Amino acid sequence: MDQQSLHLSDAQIEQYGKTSETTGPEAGQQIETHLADCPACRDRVLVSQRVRFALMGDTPVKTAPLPDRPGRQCPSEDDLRNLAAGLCPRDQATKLTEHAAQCNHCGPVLRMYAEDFSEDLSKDDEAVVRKLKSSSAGWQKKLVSRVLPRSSGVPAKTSKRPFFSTWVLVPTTAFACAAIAFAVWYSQRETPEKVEKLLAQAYTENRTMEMRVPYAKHSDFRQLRSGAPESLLNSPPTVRRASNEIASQLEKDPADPKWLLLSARLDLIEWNYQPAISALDKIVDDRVIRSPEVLTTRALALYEKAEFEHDREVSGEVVDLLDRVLQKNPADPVTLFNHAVACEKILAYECAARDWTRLLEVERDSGWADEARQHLKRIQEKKTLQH
Amino acid sequence: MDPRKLPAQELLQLCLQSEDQAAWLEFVRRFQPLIAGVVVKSIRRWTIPTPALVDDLVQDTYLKLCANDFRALRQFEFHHENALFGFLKVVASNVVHDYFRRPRPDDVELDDTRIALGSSFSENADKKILIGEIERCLEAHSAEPNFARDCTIFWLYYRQGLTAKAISELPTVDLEVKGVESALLRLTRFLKEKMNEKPVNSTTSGSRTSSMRSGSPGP
Repeated sequence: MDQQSLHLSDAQIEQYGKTSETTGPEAGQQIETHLADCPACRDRVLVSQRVRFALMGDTPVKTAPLPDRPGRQCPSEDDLRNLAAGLCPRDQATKLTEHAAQCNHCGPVLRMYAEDFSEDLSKDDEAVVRKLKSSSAGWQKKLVSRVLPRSSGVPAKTSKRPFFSTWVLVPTTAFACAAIAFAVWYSQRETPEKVEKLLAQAYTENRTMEMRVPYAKHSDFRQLRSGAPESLLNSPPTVRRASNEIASQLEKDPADPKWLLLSARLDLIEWNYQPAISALDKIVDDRVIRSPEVLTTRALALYEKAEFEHDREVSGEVVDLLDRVLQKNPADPVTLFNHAVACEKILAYECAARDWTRLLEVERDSGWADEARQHLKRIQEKKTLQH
Repeated sequence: MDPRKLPAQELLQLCLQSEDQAAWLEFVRRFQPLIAGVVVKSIRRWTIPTPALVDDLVQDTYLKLCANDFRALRQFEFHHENALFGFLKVVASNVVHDYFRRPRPDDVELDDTRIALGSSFSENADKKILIGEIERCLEAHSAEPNFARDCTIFWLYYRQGLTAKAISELPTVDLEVKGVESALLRLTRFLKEKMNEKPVNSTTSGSRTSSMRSGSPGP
């Protein structure tokens, strides 16, 4: 025994279980007595023995996908996940545990879920958790207002809340007057947000593109038959109003990324994908280029290009771009919808089906949800036919 | 009624029956650490987790629970008091794995990866021999009470790499961590005695089995 630390020495840990001529049974008994009361030494002995037995697989269970294929007798991954979560009925749990203990596929899967579901966090994980916004009361309130749309006490907040709404609530006359004056001025000018909504409205009034644009309500898709864009003179008033404002703003600052983006969106409503791509190419700020808004708009432009030029490779680029947006906003209904459409274009029906299913979980507009259901049904029918 | 004082089952019932905001706020507050913990660990299997991604997937987990008029939560049955915790872990884990299993254009074929990860033939053969020997030795212990349970614990620890704590949390084990460790130490001692009784055989690449039997220190 290491007299200073009152724990087993490294040599005792290594020699555990081996009857030595020099130590004898008394020393062995002392070690057992110590182990009975010392969790740290029990752990050291077991870890040391595990290294010496060397029975574990060579691939540590750190990464997915896991090694080894499931055999015919193997349970599903869901069963193993439920087992690790304590959700299996007892009879099934006994069978599953005995199987997993001996199986090179199920053992690592069970271990993975047992580790993921344990309460222990590594230091790295703790550091990430400390920075989470979802731990804050503000984030949680916002979430509740989103999942309980009927509630009145917690108002639904959006990131694009009009600026003046904060000010009109200030109970000071001077501020109130200033706020009213500001509101009058504000209502008379076109902000990028307003123009974006105008474009969304124009899209809904005459939906000629299967993919969605942000903020647009649902309407039926009307395919362009002529293959050519319509004249701007025939455009609805919403488009003309948006067009005038965008042109006027770009005249003042031709490099303004917000207005360049809207200019591209306007062109896309008219199926002018080349000018749209040119407008996007004029944006130089790298952060803006990588933003979900620009990536989405570029994806829409390439989608139109792929449709007109019947180019499957370009459709692949669309999937790639929207994939990047989904990594940033995985529950965004517009992106999920567009990604699903793009996947269908490259005949990746499994991918599309996953998107439609996921969309149905988050979509609140019944029109878009119905359209997603129809797509999903068609994919399932295709699968049935193939079988 | 203060939702903070309600047990999990009653809190969920209150949430679903009344859609009361205070109750829902408490539901989100109470389970956020659990969901975030599962999400961050699950993400780490695929990539380095960032706070933004963890927050997104925590949100997705709640949205999934609340989708279709809270269908998942309404259909959930409380088989035992901790069942809701397990259920939320499963939903959070599903959300993360679904997110990463989404096919990407540059995905590598799974089969290629698996081939690259495999062990060499001789190492596998060696391991099989050792496993067979251990199984035979353990059989000599089969008259002991709880033999089947202890064997399962042995293999889960030594072969599958589960920790004693994780094993103790499995529903069929019915032991505290100390009980699992004691069972492991008992079988380890027994096994080493049994294996030391046997003569040391030479194997083609079997340094591992030979050193195990003779009890010599590992590398």
